[in-house]
Amino acid sequence: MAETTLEKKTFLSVENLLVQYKLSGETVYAVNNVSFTVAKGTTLGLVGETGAGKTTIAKAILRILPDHSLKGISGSVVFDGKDLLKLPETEMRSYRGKNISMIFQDPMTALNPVKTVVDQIAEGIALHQNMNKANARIKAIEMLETVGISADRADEYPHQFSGGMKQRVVIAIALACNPDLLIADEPTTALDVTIQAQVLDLISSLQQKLGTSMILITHDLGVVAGTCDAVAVVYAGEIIEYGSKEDIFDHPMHPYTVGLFGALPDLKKNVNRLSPIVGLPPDPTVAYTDSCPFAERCPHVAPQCREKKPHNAEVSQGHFVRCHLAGEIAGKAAP
Amino acid sequence: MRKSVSKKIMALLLAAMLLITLGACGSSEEPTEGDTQPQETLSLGEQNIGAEGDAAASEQIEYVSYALNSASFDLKPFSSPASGRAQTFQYVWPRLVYLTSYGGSLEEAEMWLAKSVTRVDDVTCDVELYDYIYDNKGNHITAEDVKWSYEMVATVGQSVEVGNLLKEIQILDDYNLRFILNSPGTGKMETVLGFHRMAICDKDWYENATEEELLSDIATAAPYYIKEFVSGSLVVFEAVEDYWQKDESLRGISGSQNVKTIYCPVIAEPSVRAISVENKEVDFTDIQISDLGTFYENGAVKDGYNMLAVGGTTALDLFLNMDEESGSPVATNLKLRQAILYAIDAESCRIAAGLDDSCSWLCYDFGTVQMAGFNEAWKEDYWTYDPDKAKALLEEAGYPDGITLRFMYTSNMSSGMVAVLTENLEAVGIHVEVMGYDQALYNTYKYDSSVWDIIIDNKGGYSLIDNYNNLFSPGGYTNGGVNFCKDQTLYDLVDKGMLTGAQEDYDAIHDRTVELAMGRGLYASATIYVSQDGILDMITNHYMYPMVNAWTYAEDFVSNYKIN
Amino acid sequence: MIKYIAKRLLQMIPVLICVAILIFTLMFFVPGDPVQIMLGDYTSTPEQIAETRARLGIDKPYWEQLVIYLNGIVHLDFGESFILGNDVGEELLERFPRSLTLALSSLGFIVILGVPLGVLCALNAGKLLDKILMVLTLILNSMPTFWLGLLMILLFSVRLNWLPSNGIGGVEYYVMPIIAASVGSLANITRQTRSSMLEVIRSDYVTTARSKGLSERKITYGHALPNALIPIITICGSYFGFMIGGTTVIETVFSIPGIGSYLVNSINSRDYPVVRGSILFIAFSFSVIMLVVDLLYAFADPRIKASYAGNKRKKKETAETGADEQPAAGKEGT
Repeated sequence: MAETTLEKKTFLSVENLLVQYKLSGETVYAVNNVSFTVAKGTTLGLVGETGAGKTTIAKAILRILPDHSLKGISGSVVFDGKDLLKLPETEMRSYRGKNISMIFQDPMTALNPVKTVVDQIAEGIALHQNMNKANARIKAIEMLETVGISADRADEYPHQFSGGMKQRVVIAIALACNPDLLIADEPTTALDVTIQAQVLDLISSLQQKLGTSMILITHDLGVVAGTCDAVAVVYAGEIIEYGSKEDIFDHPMHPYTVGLFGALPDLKKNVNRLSPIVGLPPDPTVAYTDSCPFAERCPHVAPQCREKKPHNAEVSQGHFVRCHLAGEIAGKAAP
Repeated sequence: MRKSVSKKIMALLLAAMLLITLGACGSSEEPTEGDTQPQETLSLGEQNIGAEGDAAASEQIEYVSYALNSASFDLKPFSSPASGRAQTFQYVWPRLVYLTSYGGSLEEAEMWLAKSVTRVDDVTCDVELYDYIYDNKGNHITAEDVKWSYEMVATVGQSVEVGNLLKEIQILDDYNLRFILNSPGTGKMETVLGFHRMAICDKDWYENATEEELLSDIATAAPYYIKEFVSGSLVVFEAVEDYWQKDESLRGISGSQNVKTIYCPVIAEPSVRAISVENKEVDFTDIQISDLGTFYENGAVKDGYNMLAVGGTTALDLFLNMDEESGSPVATNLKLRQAILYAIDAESCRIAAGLDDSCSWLCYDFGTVQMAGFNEAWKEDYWTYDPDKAKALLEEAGYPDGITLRFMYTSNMSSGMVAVLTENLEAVGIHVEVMGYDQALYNTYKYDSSVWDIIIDNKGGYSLIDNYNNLFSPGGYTNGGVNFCKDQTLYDLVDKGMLTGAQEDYDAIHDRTVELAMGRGLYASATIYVSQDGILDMITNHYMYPMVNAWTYAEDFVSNYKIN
Repeated sequence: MIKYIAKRLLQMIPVLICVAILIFTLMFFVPGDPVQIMLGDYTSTPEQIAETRARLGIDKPYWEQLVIYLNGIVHLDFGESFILGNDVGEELLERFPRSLTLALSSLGFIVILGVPLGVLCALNAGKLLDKILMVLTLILNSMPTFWLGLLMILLFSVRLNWLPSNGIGGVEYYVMPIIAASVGSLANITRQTRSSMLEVIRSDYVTTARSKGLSERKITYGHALPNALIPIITICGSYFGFMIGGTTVIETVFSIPGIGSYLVNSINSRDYPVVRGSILFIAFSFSVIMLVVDLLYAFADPRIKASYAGNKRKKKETAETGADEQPAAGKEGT
């Protein structure tokens, strides 16, 4: 396969990713034909509600989906010229923790309670960088200090740290081996607001220092605004809008995206009610093969929305929308 | 959905399997009436030799092993009676005389520590000791030691029979004693002089010995001493090197040292004992009747084994409560007692216990057919099974609609036999309240007349009259004899029988017990000993315990035991 | 930590005293007269009975006997057996190593076999191998020990002649008793390991470990199993405690003179000093084992170790971090 300049710059390319779970005899259509790219050194934000499928996409890239409930996975995830989904497990392992790392959502449960924090960091280092235990430990302590935890707390156990500090440890683990791609799954959701800012700052400073690319999963549009270069909006396991940050924030096209921005409370206005998006999130056990998953809740719904699946339309350069009425609805600018 | 269906099927399958296995087990519990074992006969006392024609060893053989059936015992000279003790006691503690057979008399006995015994009158006997008796630690045994030993056995050793029989022991000189009984009677002097739990040891040694020494480092004048004693697990006896009786002709059975070392491992579980002989791990042991088939087939002992059946010393007897003040309906109603006794089919009980003619005998008296004094004529009419007669008697007794009675037994008796007994009584209208207690409780309640109406118990003695004496002599009981009977005529007859030893006096006692409908003997079972075929002649003592030291061993005898 | 151990050891004392009083009272009021059993069937006069009772000390009233008994316990004197007359304490000490060997080897057998099997079942949960192993362990669990012991003797001693059928001695004497004793409980350990592991494997930190690129082996045994240990340790502890005194059936079948058979025989003959001494001994062993189990918890889970260390340290930590900790709970995000 010849490498084009485009592929060189796009160092992660996900195409037609499909992930299905089995749950009590039913199939859950978690990820439905998702495609996106991440350029080197940039941050892609994956935005969507809870249950949209964002974490599944992330875990699918790393192939750490739970075995017992996984029904099927197809598509391609091309990273550094190789399709990760086709690799044998042993080879995939060499990528995990080294080239691609993940930061998890809940710091409270992400760390092993019976191991010291330094051990948990050193483990990955010793594995991927072929160091002996002593050297790995030294590097691990360095890493701890980089995330703001002093060396004399290295031999303490996770339960002795607060939530924010635990998340720092998780970050330390993820960045210990200088990965090329970092996937951060809602890294600040479980933390309070003051700590959020600290953690995000830490991540972006490390990113700049090490040149790491990132996929940041979040449901918080404010976080997206502060950190991302490109944004993909996920709904019902599909990417319904994709573009640069400016595209999405200044010119949202998809009714759902518009609705998201509309739902943000405006400090300057005085309103009696918030304006949420009407209706409930879609049933994940339904496969929306012949219709738009947002049809039930869309204020602009048309008959064709229920009969035919909308294809991905490029409304401007690099800005894609999956809607029959793409381009016809002009969105409001974000506040 | 599919999962739950397959789970249901699994559950049904398991339940079905459970029911089937329960059904299969249940069927084997019923007493198999009419389904007797093949007619094999083991004649009492005779050896059944598996392989014949071996030459006997002329020299002392190295060692032999003998599996004991009980763990909780010790071999101190004056300890309370316990089963394991009785089996091995005689190797290490001597007595005055050695009684050669069950019910044997003093005149037939073999001398041991006594050089000679002379009856002076019917309560007195003079004993002369050898004057050169030394135990294995060099202590000299004198008349003083003998008298003291008797006192110790009667008190500390709780052998109250000896204490009850003896009036006093007089020391005539260093090697001469005079034994005086409380009252005359057949077999009493034999019991005293040849008592099977007697230990004669040196007084000074005993009083100065430590607990350790008493347990495993004894000073004894018997031909063997304790080489090793692991409580509950193994006892090892070794022949005393310099046995005091230098004159071979005077040694006899009691002084024999045909084997140098005797290993006695303790195997409490009966089936494992049988397996250990089959598996060539020990040379000799006693087995239970159900293991007979492993060693005996079609009337002959299998190759490689020797067998000896002994028995008749004890019988399973049934007694009826005769304490008139206890409130028991049985005690005051002769017809009721007769009804009970006619309702019982002793033969069925015997079969239900898994026994038959090859290893057990029906009883026609409280004693066994082997006991000296048994009268064959008693077999003709002894509570012959007659349920119709029983029903009629029950009505005459005043219980036409039946009655409820309490029946006590202990848990180590055959449950099949108990079931048949209960069924016999229920069939004539006597409802039975069955009380099965563990040994400890049973032993306590046995002597309490308010607890039971009917009881079954193993009883025995050296002879018929000895048995009667044990059962009905009021001296040993606080509340009448074994079943609280206070019939003076019976007591007088027993005393007379003890004195005279005449058959017609024994008959009179038997008839009196029948007249009073006191109870009946049910059956007696044999003890089966099995050994490897290198043992040619298994001699037992008068209480049916093996005299390993005096056995005849084959010339090429090799013990199966692995010493570890 | 030392303080914790010391505290626990001190706590054992009132527990043991309560056990002592309880068993004494129980045996005192249970029907059945040891003197009758000792004297057996032999006709004895009331004087002889009274004399024996006086000699054994059982003619005194309840409180007096209790005081004498407790006084003896405090001086580590358990009295002498009614039946044999030997010192109960010494006999217990002599029998204890055999029961201990049996218990320890049995425990080792179960752990070495059961834990890996349980892990195997957990990793293959729902598949055929898991189902087969579960049914197999269920069958083993349902086998009566006595029956299994005798069957093994028939096979290995009589038919094959590989092993001795009874007694104590070298290693070969303990092989069959250990297998017979353990097989039934193998199922419990396997099942517990399986369910603990299943719970743990779905935890977030296992996903973290996987995302680091560790091998499955390292994840299972290095990350998952150490967290699954707590319930397994509990089962092992109680099993071991039970084995010390509860092996009567095995001891009877294989003629091993251990504590179990000593206790049961003495109950049958109402040998009070032996019963009391044995029960107390077993209670003591059990207490020690429970302490060891609790210490093992601390070793396995540092959170528990911290809780033993006490409040002082906790206060220091909360002041530093300003937040309170919650125990970990597994969550799955989609």
